[in-house]
Amino acid sequence: MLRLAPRFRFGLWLALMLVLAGVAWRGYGQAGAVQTDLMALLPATEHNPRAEQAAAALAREGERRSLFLVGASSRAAARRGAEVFHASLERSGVYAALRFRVPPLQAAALLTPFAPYRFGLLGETDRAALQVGDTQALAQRSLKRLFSPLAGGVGLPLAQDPYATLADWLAGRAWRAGRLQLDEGLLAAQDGDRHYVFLSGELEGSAFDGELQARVATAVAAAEAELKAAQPDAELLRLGAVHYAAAARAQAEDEISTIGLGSGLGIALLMLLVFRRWQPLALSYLPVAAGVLAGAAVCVAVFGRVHVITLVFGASLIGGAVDYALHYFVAQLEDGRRWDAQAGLRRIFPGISFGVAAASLGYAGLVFAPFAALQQITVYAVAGLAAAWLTTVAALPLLLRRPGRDGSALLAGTLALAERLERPLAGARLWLLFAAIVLACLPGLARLQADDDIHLLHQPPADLKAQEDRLRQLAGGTAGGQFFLVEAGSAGELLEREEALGARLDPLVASGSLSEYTALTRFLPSPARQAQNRALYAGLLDGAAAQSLLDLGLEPAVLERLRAELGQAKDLELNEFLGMAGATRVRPLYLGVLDGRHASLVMPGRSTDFAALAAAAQGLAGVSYVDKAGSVSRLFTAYRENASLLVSLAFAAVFGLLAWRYGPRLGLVAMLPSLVAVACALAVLGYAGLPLTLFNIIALMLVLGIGIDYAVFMLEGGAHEAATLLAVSLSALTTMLSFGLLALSQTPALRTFGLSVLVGIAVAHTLTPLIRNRRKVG
Amino acid sequence: MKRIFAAALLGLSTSSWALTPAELAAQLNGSPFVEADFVQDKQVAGLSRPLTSRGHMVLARDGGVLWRIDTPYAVSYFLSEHKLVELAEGRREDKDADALPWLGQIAKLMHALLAADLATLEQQFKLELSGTAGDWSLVLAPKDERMGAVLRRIEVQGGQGIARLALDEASGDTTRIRFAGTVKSATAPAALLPFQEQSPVREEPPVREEPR
Repeated sequence: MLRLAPRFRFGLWLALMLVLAGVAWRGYGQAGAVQTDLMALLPATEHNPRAEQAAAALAREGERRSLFLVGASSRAAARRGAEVFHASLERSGVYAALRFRVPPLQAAALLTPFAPYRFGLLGETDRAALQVGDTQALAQRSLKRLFSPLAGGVGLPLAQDPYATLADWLAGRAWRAGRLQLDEGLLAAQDGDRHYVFLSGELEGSAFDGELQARVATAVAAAEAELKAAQPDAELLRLGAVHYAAAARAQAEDEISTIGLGSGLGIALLMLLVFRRWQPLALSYLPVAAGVLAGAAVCVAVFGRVHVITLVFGASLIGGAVDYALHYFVAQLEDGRRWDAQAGLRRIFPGISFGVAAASLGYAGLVFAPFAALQQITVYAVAGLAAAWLTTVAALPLLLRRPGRDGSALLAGTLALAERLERPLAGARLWLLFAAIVLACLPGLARLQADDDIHLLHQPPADLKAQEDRLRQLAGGTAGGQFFLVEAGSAGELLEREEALGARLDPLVASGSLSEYTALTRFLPSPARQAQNRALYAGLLDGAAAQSLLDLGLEPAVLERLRAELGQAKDLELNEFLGMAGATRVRPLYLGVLDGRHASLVMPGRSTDFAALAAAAQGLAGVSYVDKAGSVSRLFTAYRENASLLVSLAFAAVFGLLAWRYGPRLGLVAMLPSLVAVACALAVLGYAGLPLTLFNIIALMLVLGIGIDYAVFMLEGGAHEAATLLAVSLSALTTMLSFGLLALSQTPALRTFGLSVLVGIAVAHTLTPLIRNRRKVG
Repeated sequence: MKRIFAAALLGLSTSSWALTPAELAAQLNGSPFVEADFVQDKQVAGLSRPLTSRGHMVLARDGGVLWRIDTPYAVSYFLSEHKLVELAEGRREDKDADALPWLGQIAKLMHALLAADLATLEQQFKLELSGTAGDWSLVLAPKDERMGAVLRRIEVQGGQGIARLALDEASGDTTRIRFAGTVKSATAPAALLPFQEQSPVREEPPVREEPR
C-alpha cells in the first residue's frame, strides 16, 4: 500500500468514495430501504415452512390494522365522541377501510342456512347432556322456552327445531371479544362508569412506510383533537403497528441525531483542546464520514434494505472510525516543525493496520449469529472501519502536509502521568492489581441474570403500551401473535385434528388461563362429529323426551317428519360452510390447500400460561404451535449461551495472532487488560441489577477488539510511546463518548450494550498503558 | 318522533272522545307499582292446542317486571334492562342482561308495553292509539326490518289498566294475554321483594282479591 505514489493512493480513495456514494444514493433512493419493522430483523424460527409463512402472513395482515376505543363518562358521550372521531378519520382518507357501524344482521339470515344441517350441530352443553342420555334436560328446556315471556323470535319454528338445539348452538357461537358488545349498531364496552366505543381501520399500504406513518399520525391527531373538542372528558385508546412504527422511527431519528451530534461535539472539543488547530478537527470528520458512508453503502448493497437499528448502531461507530486519524494527528504533534506527512504515515502504519485487522476480527465473531441485525451490524462495522483506515492511509497524508503545533510539552506530561500511575505497580504488583480487580468483580458476576426477551429490541413508549394494555383488556385479542397451525390431507381430517386440539384447549378455557379460542370447528364440526351428533339427536325423537312434547299437544306428524329428515340429513361441508354469512368471522382461519394439504389456524385468545398452550399441541398429528416472539426469545437464549463459546473462540484467535507477532508470553500479557475489562463490564451489570443479554456479549467482543487494539499500539509504539499513549487515550475518550451515548437509548438492547462498552473501554484503556514496559521485562 | 306524535294528535283531535298518548300514559302510570293476574294462551304451529299458562304479574314503574307463572309449573322471571333473574323450584339464576343484549331488549320492550311507555315504544314501532279513556286500543307495527322479521303486530287494549295483550309473531304463532284483578300500589308488593336490591320499608301490603 505504501509503495503506491501518494497521489495515486488518493485518487484510488476518491474513486472508491464516489462509487460508494453512488451505491448509497441508489440504494437509499428506493422506497422502504430503511426498515423500522422489528419482525424484519428476526430470523426464521419455525421448522415448518408453512408455519413461518402463516406467521408472516398474519403479521402482514395485523400490521395494517389500527384499533381504537373512544372512552367517555357516559354511554351517550362515548357514542357521540366516536361519531366525531370516525367522521374526522373518514374525511382524512388515510385508512382504506374504517369499521365502525355494525350493519344490522338478521338472526334469521344467519340461522336459516344452517337449518338443513341442524341435527349435526349441537351446542357443547346439549351434546354433553345427550351423551349421558339426559334427553329430559332438553325436553324441560323446550317446555320452559314455550311458556317463558323471554322466548324471542330467535330460532326455527317449533315444528322444525322442537328442542331449540339449533338456536342454542348459534347462541353459543355469539360473537365475543373481550367485553365488547353489540349496542345499537356499535361495538361498545363498559368498565365501571366508563363507556367505550370500538372502531378499527385498515391501511392501504404498509405500516412501515414512513410517508404513510406521517399521514396517519396527522390524521389521528386531528381526529383526536376534534374528539376532545366535542367531548372534553373523552379519551382515545389506540393500538396498531403504524402507531408504534411512527414512534419507533421518531425515537430512532432522535437518537441518531443525539448520539451523532453528542459524540461529534464531544470529539470536536477534545480535538481543539489537544491540537489547538482547526485542521486536525476538520480532517477528523473525513474518516468518520467515509466510515459512515461505506458502512451504509455496503449494507444496502449486500442486504438491499437496512434496518434502522443498524443505522443507530452505525452512528456510534464514529468514535471507532476516528481512531486511526488520531494516531496520525498525534504523530504530527510529536514531530512539530520536523513533520513529514509520508514519514509520519510510515511510522503509524503497522500499528493501525494491525489494529484494523484485530478489531475486525473482534466484530467478525458476530457474523456467526444467523440474525439479520447482527449480520448487518457486522458488515457495517467492518466496512466502516476499513474505510476509515483507508482514508487515514490514502487521503490524510496529502491533506496534512503542513506541520502542526509543537506538542512536546503535552507528550511529556502524558508520559509523566502514566509513569506516576505505573510507579507503585512495579513487578508482580501489577498482577496483584489485576487479580484484585477480578476478585472484586466476582460477586457481581455471581449476580448476573440472563434475559432474552425479544422486547429488549423494542421498547414502545410507556404511554402507547398503557393504551394497548387497556384496549386489549376491553376489546380482547392476543398480544403475542401465538397461534396453532393445523394441517391435514383432507378437509374432514383437518376438522378432526382441530377438534383434538380443542379438546385440550377447552380445559384451559374452563380453568381461566385462556380467555377463549377461535377455530373453524367452533362453527363447523368434523363430519365424524356431525354423524355422532345426529345419532345423539335420534334419541330426542323417541322415548320420554318426545312423549313430553306429545303431551303438550305436539302433532305426531311433526315427529314423523323430523325422523324422516334426520334419516336423510347430510354433513355440512367445508366449502358450503365457507360461503355462509355465519362463517364471516372464521373464514380467514382457513388457509386453503397449501402444497396439497388443507391448512387452518386456531387462534388462542388472551393467555396467562403460554407453556400450557405449547403443551396442547404436543403429540397431536398435524398441529403445530407457533409463537414467533417466543421462538425468537428462545433463539436469543441459544445464541447467548453459545456466545460464551464464541467469545472464547475470538479470544483464542486474537491470542494466536498476538502470539505469532510477540510470542506466547507477551501475547498473553497484551490480552490481560482486555480480559479484566470484560470481567468488569459483566460485573457492573450484575451490581446494577441489569440483565445479561445477547447484546452484552456483542459488547464484550467489541471491548475485546478495541482493547487488543490499544495493547497492540502500546507494544508497537517503541520509541514513540508518549505519542502512542496520547493517541490511545484520545481514542478511548472518543469511543466512550460515542458508545457512552448509546447508554441513553430508549431501546433496552442498545442501552445495555452502551453501558457494557463504556465500562469495558474505560477499564481496558486505564489498564493498557500499564503493560507498555512489560516488553522490556519479557 | 315529533312528527308521529303530531300526526297522532291530529288524527285523534277529530274525535271529541279522543284519548291522547299523554293522557293514556298518565292514566296507566299513576302509581309506582301495578300488579295483576294473567292468563296466557299461546298458539304455536305444530301444536294441536294452545299452551295456556296462568300466573301473576307485577310492574314497577321505575323499571322491572315480575312474571310469575303458577301453572302448568311454577317459575318466576324478573326482568329489567340490566338484570334477569329466573326462580324455579327454589333455585335462583341471575343473568347479566348486559351480557345478553337480546334478552335485555325483550325486557325493555315488555316493560314499555305493560307500562304503555309510548316514548320508548315509539323508537321501534309505529303507534296507533284509538278509543276513549275507558276503552282504548294501541296497535304497534314494527318500524325496522329486524324487528319485523320477528314480530308482525302487537295490540294492547284496556281501560283504567291494561286488559288484553295480543302478540302476533312473524312465524304465525300468536300469544293472547288477559289481565284481571289489577291493583295499583305506592309500595312494592311482597312478590317483588326477592328481586329488589334494597327492599323499601313497607307498612302494609296492598289488599287484593284472589281470582282464578
